[in-house]
Amino acid sequence: MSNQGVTVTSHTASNLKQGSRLKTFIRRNLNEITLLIGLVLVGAFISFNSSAFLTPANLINVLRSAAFLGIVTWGMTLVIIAGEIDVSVGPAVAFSAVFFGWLVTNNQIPLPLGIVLVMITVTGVGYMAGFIRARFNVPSFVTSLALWSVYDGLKQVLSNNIPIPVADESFRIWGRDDLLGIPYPIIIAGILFLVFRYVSKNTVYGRSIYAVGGNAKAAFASGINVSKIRASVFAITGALAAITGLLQVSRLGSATGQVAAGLEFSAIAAVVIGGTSLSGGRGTMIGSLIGVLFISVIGNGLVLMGVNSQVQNVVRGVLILVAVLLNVIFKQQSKEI
Amino acid sequence: MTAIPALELKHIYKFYPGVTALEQVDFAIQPGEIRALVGKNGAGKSTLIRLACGLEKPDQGTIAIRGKQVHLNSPADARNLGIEIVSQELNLVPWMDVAENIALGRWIKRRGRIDYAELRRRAVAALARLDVEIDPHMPLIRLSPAQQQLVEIAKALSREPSVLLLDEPTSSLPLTEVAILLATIKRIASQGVAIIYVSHRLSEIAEIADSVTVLRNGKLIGTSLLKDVNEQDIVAQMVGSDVVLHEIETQNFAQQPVVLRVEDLSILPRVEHVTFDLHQGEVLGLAGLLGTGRSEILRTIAGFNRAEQGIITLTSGGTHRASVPHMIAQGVALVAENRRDEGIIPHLGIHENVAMGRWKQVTRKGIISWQLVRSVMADLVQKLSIKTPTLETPVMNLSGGNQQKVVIGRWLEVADRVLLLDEPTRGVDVEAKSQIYTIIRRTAQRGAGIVVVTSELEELLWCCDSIIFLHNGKASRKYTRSELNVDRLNSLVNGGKLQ
Repeated sequence: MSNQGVTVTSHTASNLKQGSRLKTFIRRNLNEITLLIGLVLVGAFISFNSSAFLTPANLINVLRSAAFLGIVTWGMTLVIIAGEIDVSVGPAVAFSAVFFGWLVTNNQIPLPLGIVLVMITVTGVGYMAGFIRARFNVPSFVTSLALWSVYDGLKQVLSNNIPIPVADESFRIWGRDDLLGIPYPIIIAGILFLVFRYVSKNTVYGRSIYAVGGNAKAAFASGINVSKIRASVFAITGALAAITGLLQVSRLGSATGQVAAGLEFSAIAAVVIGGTSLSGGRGTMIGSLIGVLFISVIGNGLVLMGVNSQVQNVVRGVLILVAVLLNVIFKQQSKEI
Repeated sequence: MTAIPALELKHIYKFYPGVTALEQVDFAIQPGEIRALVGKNGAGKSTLIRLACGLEKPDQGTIAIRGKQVHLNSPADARNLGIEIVSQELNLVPWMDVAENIALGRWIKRRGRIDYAELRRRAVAALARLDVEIDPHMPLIRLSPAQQQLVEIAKALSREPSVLLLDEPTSSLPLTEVAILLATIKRIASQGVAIIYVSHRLSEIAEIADSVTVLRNGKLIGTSLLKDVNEQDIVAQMVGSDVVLHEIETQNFAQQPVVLRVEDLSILPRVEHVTFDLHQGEVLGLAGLLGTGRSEILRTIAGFNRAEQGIITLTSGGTHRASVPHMIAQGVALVAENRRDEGIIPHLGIHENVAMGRWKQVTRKGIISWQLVRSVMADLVQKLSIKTPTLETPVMNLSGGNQQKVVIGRWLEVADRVLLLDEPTRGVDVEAKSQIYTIIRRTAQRGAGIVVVTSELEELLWCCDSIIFLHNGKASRKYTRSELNVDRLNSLVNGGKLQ
């Protein structure tokens, strides 16, 4: 107690303390709690309209698509907390897939070396983009938009828009098979989530990202290497895009430039739905996790309910907007309480 | 009271969750009167102002304008009834020109198009009323801070208010520009506008106000004519006890070991050939008007900038380099001039804002031990007398004084060789000021050398052992505290010499 003399307000009766503890828990996690409630409501609505939704096989499906969205979203969360944006992740995933196919099938490079080359290249390019942002103060929207175009072009150059088969059975395990009934992509995304959550909460590196996004000048004055932090978050999304691309090849058995179209927007939407501020300095990994699930459940539900595929995008867009609005409104309300 | 008050607040109560912000406060101001409104942070000044300009509504009590009771539901209501506010932060658009800024939100249109010629005419008229010469075509960003502040006032005046609220209008201005602003305010009052002037700077109040209202802990302490009270009385009313500021005892530091040696330092165009020593335990003041390179010297020592010429030596070992992390590792750190800009990380908690300066102390291999953080911070928060419900409270929710203590706290025990403080008490109330002086003195006693830069000259007497004056790029010799008094300070800071 002696160390916490400054923190305590009232603690006379123990049940009062219990009550206030629950209250503080709710207040601190209001954002996540409201999102979860929203997710459950959407899930209930879908299962009411389609009996196929709440089946184990379908839920695994939802989680699998959540995993492919989630992996880059974890990195996107750090980018946005740092006060930046990376719109290049979609084409980066597609490029990673095609580049990998081009290396191992068209050029007969051994698979493990192919994996390493893809990882190094896309991570390195991400770092470069971040470095340019940090060194020359170019807005990251511009650098990553340029990169979007470069990746999009390169993937077409390498593949001529024709899928490149990659049939190695031992490689296909990672995207296609499962462990004890859980597909590997879900396990990989889950482990990465735990790592990112831990790093963002409990390491100097993670907290420095919050500091840079919250007030870069003050972070610099405190001895934080702002440029390095900025460059590194783009390297991280690069690495995660590479992983996602490789997993897509593994899942499909071929490398195609069609994968991950629009992934950058789903990832940004998931982060924003999760309550992370686009102006930087604020946000949580848990929020992004729920945001990812939200988007995946909606996508799945629209298919199950037989919504016309052209209308799906419209509905998805509207639902994302509503989710973000509700989140913002709840935040304002909770401030006034 | 003979005349009808321009603005009157009667028996005002305002409650926030857990706090009574205002308790039975009465406030009335006559046309043409300049009323200073003072009190420590949290005394209720801001609440009173927010009520007067319609940002909030009182829970009890009434507001009357020229004798007529009104309900202010929004700032627009207050504005329509002739109440204008100029707050600390400017509400102007940097890239628009002066004229358009003055007309902001009320563009004058002719045949559906904005009538720029008319905008200019009105801007010229508004500026003429202030008797200042500012080119209405100039983009705002090209003006000095004081000129920008004057544009903001011109904007407020262009709506012909009967009451003008000024919330710390001088807090970011250099001394020379403060004088211009104060003269302008007097002129406006003489035209019959009632002026409510909020400031922490008592010397300004003494200069322009007719009367002063003191608030403390949400209660009205009293309103007095300025000719009946002196600064000491006002401070005593604000703090609620005897004056807490007392001048310090100093010793001679020449015998103490030197911790920092600055030789022939030039930072063009402002600083030329500056040389001085900082001794262990010494608090050295760097005085000079704004733009004399005070901040630049601190920033160069702290590794923010590279100097054109000169040698900076840490005499107790270690090297100087133009790298902030390197200098922090050497025990040299700077509390920068603007805490919002370069000090706090607003959304992070107090504990993290302080821990940022000393991750090594509370981490193992880059992983943070929150238990260590809490125990170290709880101790520091007590030492710094930071008032807060919890250690995790986001710094943006603290008062200015407490925010400043957090930023200084970041470097306590970290900057164990040289602590550099640029305007450490700007925008901070009297009580927090005295606490900050105590922190400075104690840190020096523990063996650090400290350099303080401040625009408030009296402050130098309250916390420094010795003072160097900068004028036209050159540094004076080091004066000891005992050689100086307020008059001499004033002459030296303007480039004069003793005897």
